[in-house]
Amino acid sequence: MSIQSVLRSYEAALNANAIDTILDLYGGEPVFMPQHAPALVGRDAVRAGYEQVFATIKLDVRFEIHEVEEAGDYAWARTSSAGRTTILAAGAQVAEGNNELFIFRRENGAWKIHRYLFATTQPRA
Amino acid sequence: MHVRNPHRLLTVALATLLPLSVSASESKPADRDLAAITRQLDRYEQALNTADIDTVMKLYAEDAVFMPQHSLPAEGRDAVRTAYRHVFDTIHLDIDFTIDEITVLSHDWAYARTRSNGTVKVLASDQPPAPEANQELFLLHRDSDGQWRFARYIFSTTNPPMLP
Repeated sequence: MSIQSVLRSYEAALNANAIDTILDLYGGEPVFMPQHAPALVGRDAVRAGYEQVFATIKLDVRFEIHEVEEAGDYAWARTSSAGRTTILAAGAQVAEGNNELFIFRRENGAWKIHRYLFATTQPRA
Repeated sequence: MHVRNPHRLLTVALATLLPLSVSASESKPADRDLAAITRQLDRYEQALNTADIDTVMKLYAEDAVFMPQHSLPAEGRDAVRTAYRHVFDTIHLDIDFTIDEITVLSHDWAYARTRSNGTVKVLASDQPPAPEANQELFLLHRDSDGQWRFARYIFSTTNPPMLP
């Protein structure tokens, strides 16, 4: 699966709350760095992070892939995402916009998410 | 600048490079890359705390993209400089970076994963400095002069969301 395909799968899985699919896209020693939380180190912490996200919000976002660079058994990608977020507790929808930087590692011949940080592009509240 | 568990950090980098370099004597370049990248991050910390935009720009690569939170990406050196001008015109930072990881991906690419903690003072406000806490992902490129520079850089806060 190409890195572009991994990113498309990630987009679809995020919008579908598909935690198992998301975890399949991550490698063996991942670090996920979401906003408003310390880095989530390791697969269990990453899974717990997504469980908390999906318990709180429902995402409907599209990723735009700006650049992908392969370097041996590593690669990186810069993307942005935009769409709508439904805050489940409030039932309210807000605009969502983020920048993302992914580092991928080739593991057993497949590109896996190794490091991932995103940051909102929305103005401060 | 804190380096948490520098031994592990070196191990990570060596594990990355060893498949490329068979003999032990060739582990020296990995050492040098780690030291060089650490030095660049140290310079960045100092430049942020002293609002030294020229030093910040020396740390950025030619086609750099800076992705500060709450902002569209700043693409290219002119946009990056403008973004830092805005930051330094707006706030005064007093922060300390902790390097959690440096990994060399290839001859020309590396990344660093860091955290920063300290205070931020809004210059236009009478309020005292407020706690600041972020995490950062730096993608570094080895330029043609051999220097590691920031090619892509993104950060986000680790503080809980502000309640409405």
